[in-house]
Amino acid sequence: MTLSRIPIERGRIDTRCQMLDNRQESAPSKVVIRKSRILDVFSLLCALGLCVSCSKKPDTGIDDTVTTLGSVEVTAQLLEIKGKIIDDPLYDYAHVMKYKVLHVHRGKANGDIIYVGHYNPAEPRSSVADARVTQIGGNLRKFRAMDVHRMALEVPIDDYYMGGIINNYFSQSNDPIYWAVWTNFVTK
Amino acid sequence: MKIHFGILIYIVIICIVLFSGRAQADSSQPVTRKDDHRVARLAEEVCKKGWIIYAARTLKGDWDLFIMRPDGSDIHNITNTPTLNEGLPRFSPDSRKILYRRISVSENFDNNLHGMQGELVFADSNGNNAEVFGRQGEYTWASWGPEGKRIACMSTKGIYFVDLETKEIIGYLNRKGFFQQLTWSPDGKWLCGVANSFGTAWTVARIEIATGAANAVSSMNNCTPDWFPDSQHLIFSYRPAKQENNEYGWTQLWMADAEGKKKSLVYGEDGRHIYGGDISPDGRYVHFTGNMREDSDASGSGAPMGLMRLNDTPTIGGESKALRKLHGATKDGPVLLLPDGWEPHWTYHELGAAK
Repeated sequence: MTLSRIPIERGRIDTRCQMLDNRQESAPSKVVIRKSRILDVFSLLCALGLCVSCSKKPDTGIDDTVTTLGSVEVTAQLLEIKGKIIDDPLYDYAHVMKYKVLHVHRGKANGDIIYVGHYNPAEPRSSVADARVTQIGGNLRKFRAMDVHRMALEVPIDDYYMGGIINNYFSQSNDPIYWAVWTNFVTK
Repeated sequence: MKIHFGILIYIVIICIVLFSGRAQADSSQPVTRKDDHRVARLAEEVCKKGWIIYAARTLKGDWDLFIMRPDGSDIHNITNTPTLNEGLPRFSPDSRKILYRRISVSENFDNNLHGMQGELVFADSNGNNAEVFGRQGEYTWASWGPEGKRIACMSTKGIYFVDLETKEIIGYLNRKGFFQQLTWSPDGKWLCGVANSFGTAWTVARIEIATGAANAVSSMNNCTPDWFPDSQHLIFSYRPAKQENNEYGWTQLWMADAEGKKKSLVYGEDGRHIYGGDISPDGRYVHFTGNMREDSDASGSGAPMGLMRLNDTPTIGGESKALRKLHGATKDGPVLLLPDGWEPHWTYHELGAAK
């Protein structure tokens, strides 16, 4: 595999060098001008896209599922993802993440800081359910520290999930681990 | 016509080359050869020591249960069920019965969920009189009790003990993070399994049944634990981290005292993942599977099984340069190559005639 990659990369570099050489040697042609206009339009579209995304409406993450599943419902900020999220199709596991609770919507949270186990976190929540774990999901696509999530939870995790757990807080906390049933992304 | 015939010949040759290559990749044999005189001596030594039961694919493609002599001879298919897949056979302590799980032939065994799949079945140890015990998905991760009258099972809600005659649940235990491969110790006092409750997933651990106290035996990337006859030691698979030239690593066969104080390599081979370790009833031998592809014993067609003396531990198979750097003094005893199989189990009892 590696051997076949090298010539391709070299080819690219060579082509790029040739293009640079051509630019230095010849005057701007119509083709170059047309390309620069295309680039201008593309940049404009990007800027427009950025504006649209910045002006995205706040989303509290509320939906019919997050408000009904689980015994606890919170909006919480993901403080950190300790350890690497492993994307291994051979093994299913839950990864424990640390959250700061911003708002408790239902049930009771065990303090401001809670530890939540997410099943196969490399997967988008919409497609994470499988033969082992059927009733989980949400609209969150990717876990990123400092993002805010609205979650339906169960506790303790062992009562709802029987499988591998990566808990890098094992030696730091004896708090119960919550099991993430539904996880939605929250935008401010 | 001549041109067409030529093309046909060409296609046939290509097919032969491709298929022979695939077969080699899937189950090429370990370096140890059966013509090694030490291996021949080992085969002779074990050939009359009872039977090994294991699951294997038939030529039809389904999984059946087979028995063979420990030298790999006298193989019998004892289930012969083309519409069903059977796996995870275990002899009862008196070896009169076996338990196993069976699923439809349209389903596949999952390497991590197999103990929860399909139905639990009990049968005579020669495969006769098979009886389904419970419904689909019931009595998960079932393991024989020491006298063969009870089984221990495990579900999300905990570990529970079932009386086989009445089918009544006669006791519960918090599962303390255990989640797969539950096995009851021969002395009846302990359970071992794979747990997630010791900071790392896939920790081999044990629970004392009387107190419910659990302890880790080997942390991080361990599985398929089983007991030594003394109930004080465990055999298990372990994939050490940071292996040279191999980020994922090869899974090796290890043993440890059940308190988790000391563990040591039993058998390793760079290029193979060793799983399903099982100790002979007298504690003198160990047999296992060695798969070139990770996690594909159940999803594939099992893997070549190997058998060796425990006196020869640690043994390293093949060239295994990286592994040999870590374990200088190895005995490299003979390893008897056995047919492809999955999760073998050994009894020294003689079995009744098969149906």
